[in-house]
Amino acid sequence: MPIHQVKIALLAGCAAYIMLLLVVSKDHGDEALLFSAWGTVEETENLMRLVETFNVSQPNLRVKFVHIDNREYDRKILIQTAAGNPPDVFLLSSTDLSALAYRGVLENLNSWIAADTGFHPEAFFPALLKTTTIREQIFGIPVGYTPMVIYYNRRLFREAGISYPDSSWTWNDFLHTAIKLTRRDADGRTKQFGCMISMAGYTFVYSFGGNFFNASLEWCQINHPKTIAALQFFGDLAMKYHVTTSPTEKLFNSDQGFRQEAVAMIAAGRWQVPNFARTNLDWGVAPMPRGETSAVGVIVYNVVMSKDSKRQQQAWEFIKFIAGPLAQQQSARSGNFIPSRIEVAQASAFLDDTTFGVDNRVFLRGIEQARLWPMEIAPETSYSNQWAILNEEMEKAMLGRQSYVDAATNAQERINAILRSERHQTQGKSFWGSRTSFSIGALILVSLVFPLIKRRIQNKRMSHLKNAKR
Amino acid sequence: MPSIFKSQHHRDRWIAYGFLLPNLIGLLLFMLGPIAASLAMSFFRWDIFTSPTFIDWDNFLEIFSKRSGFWQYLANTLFFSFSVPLGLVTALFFALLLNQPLRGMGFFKTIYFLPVVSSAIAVAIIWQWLLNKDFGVINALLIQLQLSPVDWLGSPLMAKISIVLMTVWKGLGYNILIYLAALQGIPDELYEAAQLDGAASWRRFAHITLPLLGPAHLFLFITGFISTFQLFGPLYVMTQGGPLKGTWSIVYEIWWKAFREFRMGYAAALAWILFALIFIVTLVQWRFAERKIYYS
Amino acid sequence: MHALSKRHKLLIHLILLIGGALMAAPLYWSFITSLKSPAEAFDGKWFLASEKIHLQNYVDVVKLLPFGRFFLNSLFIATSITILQVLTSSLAAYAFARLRFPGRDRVFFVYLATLMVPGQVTIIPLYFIIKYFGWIDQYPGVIFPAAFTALGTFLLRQFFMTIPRELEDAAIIDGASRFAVYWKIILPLSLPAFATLGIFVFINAWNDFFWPFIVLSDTQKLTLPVGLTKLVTAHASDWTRLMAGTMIALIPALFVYIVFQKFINKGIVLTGFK
Repeated sequence: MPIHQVKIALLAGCAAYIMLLLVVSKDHGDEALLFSAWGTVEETENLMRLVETFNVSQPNLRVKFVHIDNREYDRKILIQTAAGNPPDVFLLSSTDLSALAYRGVLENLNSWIAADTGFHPEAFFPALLKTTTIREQIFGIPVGYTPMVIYYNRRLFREAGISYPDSSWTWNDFLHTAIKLTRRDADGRTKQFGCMISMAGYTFVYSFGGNFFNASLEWCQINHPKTIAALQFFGDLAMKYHVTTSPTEKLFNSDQGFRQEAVAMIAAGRWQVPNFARTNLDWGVAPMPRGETSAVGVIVYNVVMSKDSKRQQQAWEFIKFIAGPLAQQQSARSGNFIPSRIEVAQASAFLDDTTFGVDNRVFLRGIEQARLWPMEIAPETSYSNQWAILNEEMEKAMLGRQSYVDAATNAQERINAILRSERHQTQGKSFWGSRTSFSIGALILVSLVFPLIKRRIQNKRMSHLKNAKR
Repeated sequence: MPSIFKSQHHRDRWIAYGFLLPNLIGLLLFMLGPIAASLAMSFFRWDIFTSPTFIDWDNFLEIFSKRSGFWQYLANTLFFSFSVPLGLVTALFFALLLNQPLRGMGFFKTIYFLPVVSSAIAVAIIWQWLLNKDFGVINALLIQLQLSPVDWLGSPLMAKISIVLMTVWKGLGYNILIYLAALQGIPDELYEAAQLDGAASWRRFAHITLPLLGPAHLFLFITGFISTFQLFGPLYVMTQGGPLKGTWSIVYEIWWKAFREFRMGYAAALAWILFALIFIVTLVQWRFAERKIYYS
Repeated sequence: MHALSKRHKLLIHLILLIGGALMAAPLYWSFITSLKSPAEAFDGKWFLASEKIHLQNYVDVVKLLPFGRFFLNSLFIATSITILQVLTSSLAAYAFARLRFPGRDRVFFVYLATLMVPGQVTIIPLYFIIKYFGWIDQYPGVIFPAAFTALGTFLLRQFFMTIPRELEDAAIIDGASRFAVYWKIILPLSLPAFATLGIFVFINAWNDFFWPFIVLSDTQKLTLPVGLTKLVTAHASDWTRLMAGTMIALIPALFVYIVFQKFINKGIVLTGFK
C-alpha cells in the first residue's frame, strides 16, 4: 500500500478514534441514586445484594452501588462533595462522621425522622445513635457495629500449652501469652509474632482508665498518668518485649499476618469472622483483655445522606431500607457486623447462628462497656489528623527519641494548637495594602521599566560604537 | 525582494499558529491554567469547602519557619537526589559493557529495562516485602552469605538509603538506553584516530567518550533530578514518610497538606517553592553544561 | 574498538549476568509468589515444585475484580493518550523547530518550565476544570489532561532540529506548502522518534496511578494500577493474590516494550542525544 494511502488511513483512524472517545465516554446520564461504601469484594457482596433487592422492590427508583477504596474513603467523599458530585447515600463510620458533619457534607436527618412516622429511632441501640448525634442533630442511622475483639490461633495456643483466653483475662495475661507465642529463628529474625493490636487504635487506653479529652470534652488531654501508662504498655509490646511488629515494619496487616499464621493474636472487628471462616485456620474469638475496666473500642457503621444530594427524598427511602429490620437480618447473616437494631441483635436467629463457628454473644458482651473512638470532641481536626499526630509522637517514643511522657505532652499540645487555631480562625486579610499586592505592583513596575532601561543601554552602546567607528 | 519577504513572514506566522494551536490549547487548559490557579491559591487559606480567605504571605512564612518541618523535608528530598549521580555512574558502566558487540546483548537490554516498564506502585509493593527485616528475601540472602540481616526500613537513614537504591534500580534501564544511544552516536573514526596516536583505552574513554556524552549526561541529570524531586509512589506505599519522617519528602508533604489536612493554599505554596527549587537547579545545571558541550 | 580477548568477553558476560539477575530478581520473586498458595507466601522459596503451582490466585483475582475490563480500560486510555499526544505535539514541535513567529523561544521556554512543575500543583484546579466539562468519572477526564504535557513537544522539537534543512528547503522551493513538507518529508523520517515517544507516553499512561485514581470511581472504568490497589484494602488482601494482580498489570507493558524494542533503539539513536 502506498505511503500516501497509509497516512490518510491513519489520519482518518485517529479522527474516528477521538470521536469514539468523546462519545463512548459520556455515561448514559442515568438518574440513579448513588450509594457508596468501602470494603473488600466479599464484604460488599452483602451490600450489593441489598441494593439489588431494593431495586427490584422499587420500580421507579434505581440505586447504583459505587465502591470506594477503604484507605482514601473519607477524603474521596470530601473531594467529591467539594466538586459537587457526592454519592447520595454512603456508609460512614462514626469516627469519620463528626469531621464530615462539621464540614457540611452530611444532611441533618432530624426533620426526615420527625416527618416519617414509620421510622422509630428507639429501635436502635441508644449508645449507637448517640455516636451519630452531634449537638442534638442526628447525622446518620447506624446499620451495624462491631466491638474490637481478639482473634487467636487455637493451634498455636495448643502447641504452646496455653489455655484459651476467656472474658476474665487481663493485659498482663495478654502480655505473657504473647511472649510465649513469639518465636525467633537462629538468626534472630522473628518468624512468629505473639500479637498485633494496632487495629484497635488507641481505644485500649480506656481499659487502663485513661482518656484523651478533658471532662467537658473540649480540649485534648493525654498527659495523664493512666493514659501514659497505657501508651507505655503499647510501646513496650513492640520495643521492650518484642511480641509485636515495630512501627517501621509494615509488611502485613494484622489479618494477613494472622492468616499466614505469622501472628498468634490480633485485634480486629467482626468483619474478619467470615474471612477467617473461609480459611483452614483453627481460630477463636475472645473479648479484649481488661485493665482497670473492661472498656473496649467499638466501630459503628452508619448510612448517611449527602447534604448536596439532589434526590434526598429517595435517599431517605433507601436509608430506611438499608437500616430496616429485613436488611439487617440479611446483613447479620452475612456476618460482617452486629446488627444495630436491638430486636434483630437480640433475636435468637442471630445469637444462635453458628454459621461461622463463632459465639455471637462474645460480640454483644462488648456493647455494655463500649467506648467509641472519641469523635464528637474535635470535629475541627478530623479524626485522622489527631491520630496522625499521636502516632507520630508515639513513634518517636518507641524509637527511643523521647519518653512516653513527652510523647503524650507533645501530642496534646499539638492537637490543642490545631483546635485553638481552628476555633479562632483569623480573619482574612485585605488584599490592597498587603505584601502580595506590593510585590505584584513591584513586579509590574520592573517588567515595564526593565525593557526601557535595556533599550537605553543598547542605544548608548550603539552610539558608542558609531563614535568609535568614526 | 523585500515585499515577498514580509508577506512570507506573515504567512509563516499564521501557519505556525495553526501547527501550534491544538497542543497549545490543551496545554493552556490542562497545565498552564491550573498552574496559574494554584499560584493564586498559595496566597489563600482554602479547605475546598468554605470559600478561600486571602492571607497574604502567611503560607510562605509558615513554610520557612522552624515548626513546619520544611527544612527536614528538603534535606530528605536532597538525599533522594543522590540516586541520580549514583544511577548515572552505574548506568554508564553497564552501557559501556552492553555496547560491546557480543552475543545476547539484546536479551540483556530487555532484562535491564524491565523495572522501567513496571508500574511504580507494583514495584513499591514488591520491594516493601523484599526489604522486610524478618520475612524479606534480601535479608534471607544476606544470611545465606553469612552476613547479618539489615533492618532496611527501620531507621530514618536506612529507609532513605533503601529508597535511593530502589530508585536507582527502577531507573537504570532507561539511563542505560539513553547512554547506549549516545555511545553509538560517537563516530568510530575518533577512536581509530586516537588509537593511531597511541592513546591507551582509559585515555580514550576520558577524553573522547566522556565529553562526547555531554548532552546525554545533561539530559539524564536534569530529568533524573526532576523525577527524584517528585518521588511519591514508594513513599506512599512503603514508608508513609517515616520512620520519624525520615523519608518525608517535599512532595509527600504537599500531598499530605492538600489531601489529609485539606490546606490547599499551603500545599500550593509549597508546590511553588518546590518548583522554584527545581527551576534553579535545572538552570544552574544547564548554564554550567552549556559551556562544556559539543553539539555535533 | 579492537577485538576483545575471550577472557574479557567472559568477564563482561558474567558482570552483565549478575546485574541482570539483580534487575530481574524482584520481578521474578513477584512472579513466583503469584504462583504460591497463600499459606506458603512467606516460606522464602525461590523455586516451586510443579505440583505446587497455585494458579488459583489468578483465577481469584480475575473473579474478584474485573481485571479483563481493567485491562481494556487501560488499553483504551493509554492508546488514546498516546495518539493525542504524539499528533498534537508533533505539530507543535515542528512549529518550534522550523517555523518563525513572535515569541517563539519564549513560548518554548514556558513549555519547558511546565515539565518541572510537580503534579501536585495542578491536581485540585484540574479536578475542578474536569468537573466543569462533566468529565468526572469519565474517560476524557483521564485522557485529556495526560495528553497535553510538554514532554512530547520537547523531544520531538529536539529531533526535528536534527533533520537537515536542505530537504525541507528543496521542497519549499519546489512550491510545497508547509503542511505538505510536514506530512510528506518530516513525518516519514520521524517514525522512529514517534515510536519512541509513543512508547514512553504509552508506558507512562499505562502505569499512571494518581490521576486516574482521583478521577475514576466506577469499577467498570478503572485502569489496572487503580484496580490493583483495590486488592490492597486495609483488611483481607493476600500477598499471593496481590502478586498475581501485579503480574497481570505488568505483562502488557512488558509485551509492548518487547515488540517495539527495535523502534526504541533506532529512535533514540536518531533523536540526537549525541
